[in-house]
Amino acid sequence: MNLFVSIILWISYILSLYFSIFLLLVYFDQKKLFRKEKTETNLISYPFVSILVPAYNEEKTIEKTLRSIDQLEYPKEKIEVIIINDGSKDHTEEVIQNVIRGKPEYNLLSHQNRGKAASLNRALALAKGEFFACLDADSFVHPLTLRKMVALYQKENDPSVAIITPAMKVADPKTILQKIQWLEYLVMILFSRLTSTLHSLYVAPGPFSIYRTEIIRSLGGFDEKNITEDQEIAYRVQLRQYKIKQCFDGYVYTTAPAKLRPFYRQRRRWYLGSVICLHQYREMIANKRYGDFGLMQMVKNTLGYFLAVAGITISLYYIFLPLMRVFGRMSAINFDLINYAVSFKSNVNIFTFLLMDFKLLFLVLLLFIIGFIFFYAAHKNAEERISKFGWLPIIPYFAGYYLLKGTILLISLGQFSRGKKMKW
Amino acid sequence: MVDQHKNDTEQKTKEKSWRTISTDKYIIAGIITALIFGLGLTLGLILEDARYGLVQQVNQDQEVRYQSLQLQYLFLTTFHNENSCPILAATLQETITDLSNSLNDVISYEEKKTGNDAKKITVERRYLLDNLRYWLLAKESKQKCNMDIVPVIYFYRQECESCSGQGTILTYYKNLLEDKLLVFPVNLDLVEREPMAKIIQSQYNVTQFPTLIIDNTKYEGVVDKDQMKEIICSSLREAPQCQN
Repeated sequence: MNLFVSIILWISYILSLYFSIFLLLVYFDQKKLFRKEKTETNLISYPFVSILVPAYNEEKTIEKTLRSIDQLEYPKEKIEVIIINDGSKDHTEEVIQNVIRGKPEYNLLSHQNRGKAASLNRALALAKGEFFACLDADSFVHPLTLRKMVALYQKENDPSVAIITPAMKVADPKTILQKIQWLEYLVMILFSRLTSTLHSLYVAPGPFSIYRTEIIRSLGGFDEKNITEDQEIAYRVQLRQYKIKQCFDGYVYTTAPAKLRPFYRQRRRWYLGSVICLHQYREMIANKRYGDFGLMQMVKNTLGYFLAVAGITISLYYIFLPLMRVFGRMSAINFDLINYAVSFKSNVNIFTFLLMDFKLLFLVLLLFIIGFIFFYAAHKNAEERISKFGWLPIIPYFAGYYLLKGTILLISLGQFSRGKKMKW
Repeated sequence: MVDQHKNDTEQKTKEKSWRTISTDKYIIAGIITALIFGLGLTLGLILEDARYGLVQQVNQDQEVRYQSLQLQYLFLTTFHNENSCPILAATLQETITDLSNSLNDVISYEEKKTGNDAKKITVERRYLLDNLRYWLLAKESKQKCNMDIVPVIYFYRQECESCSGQGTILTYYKNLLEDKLLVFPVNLDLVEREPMAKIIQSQYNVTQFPTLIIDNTKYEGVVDKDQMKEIICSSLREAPQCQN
């Protein structure tokens, strides 16, 4: 076996194992607390909240988004909604006009297409709320979520809490890809809850994160040059030593891409954005001043790229190359496999079993077990049944999904390094 | 503006008491990872031992069987007793099938072990010698006992691209014809290390890969699926698999 590949293999397995065990320890540490913890829905007072809804070509979903804001259990006079039509080319504007007619708490801004961050900044300048929420026009908020998140601000009672993030679920998954993402998002809710206890959140998801207006304004608003402003703002908030907390049961439902192509586009943007952010805020990597965020999360995020590269290399080496060889050999017998298959039957003996690389198998098995523990715990945590959308999506979720994501990550990384060269 | 920058720096350098550093968890996670790593390593070593024992066993079995076969052959030629032909035939078949299975396993086992080239070459040489002596036995038994078999020598090299296809075709007919087709693979990468490889190479003047010796005829280059069927079936007296 190629020595280089096996060294990479071992390093990446040990790293993954280390991070998984660390998270598992955090989980067991918090487990009791997690089980009884419930976010309050009774509020001491009702602070004024601005809800910013940036929309670009969202005629299909925006009505549902606005209706979900309508149904929030929060006094209407304590809410203002600022919708920003970012130069949509479809009927978004008309749909919005129809929905908001006769509702004084809604305001509509329209401008030429400038991007999401610029739209948010324009609305942020006008926002009157002590807090403001962003709600992407493809997402829908649960009626109790705003109460829960404001209640969390009141419970924390700490002016340095800058962002509270929601628990994101996939809205109405239909295709298998959406169902896989449903599982992924559920696991993310648990991971975010764990990282939240370590003050290590590094994304403020576009759907219904709530920000403290004063802090975000003092930081200069959203970065209009960044392609993932929701990550950039979180890193910046961390850099300036403000807090980000998760509201683990403040649910928001977001539309996940149904097909591979839009999925690829979405992820490429996210991953490219995250490389850019990591690079931009690299001073926090392994920096003790940022506590667990610097020592753990930043290091983990950085090593994530190494793991992705290693994962792809390894699967190429172990799956695709042998597969191509088998294909070549089968073509020599015109794919008359019935007769050939006999040899597999006769050759499976104790040797086949003994020939496997046990040391590696042992690690892989353990990683899977830890994966399953988190998978199970994540469903408990988000109050969902594992079989809600059948057992079928679970197989690709564990078998090939990370490979798919890793590939996209790799492509993004390639684009990042090319982009850098052009700049230098 | 300057003041703002100063504030920023102050803000950043100030130790934040709410920041957590889970040193204990870093250490415990490290210890557990090391333990798991160690456990896996130990488990691997134990199984390695078991594997080594198995390899030894296979080698010994092979040796005894070869001696038995040789004696049977000697007996046959000495006493001209053709009644023992069926026994010889049966032993030959069994041994050869076993040879290809078990020694393949041994080889792939040795291949997986890194940094032990000397041992791997020894195993490969043994395999080559075993194959050649069984081939000689098969050839002679075919004459003496009038056995309905086709012995095939298959010369290959590691770097030969089309060899894996040829190997697959041979395996295919091996599965189809079972004990009527006897394939003896000879790896000519060993020419430098094993004199016998050189002898057989010059005997048949092998310059190209793959080269096949089917019965006594030499075929250079890949023999494809249909050609192979024709050649093999023409040397067999009766084979129902050749009918269609």
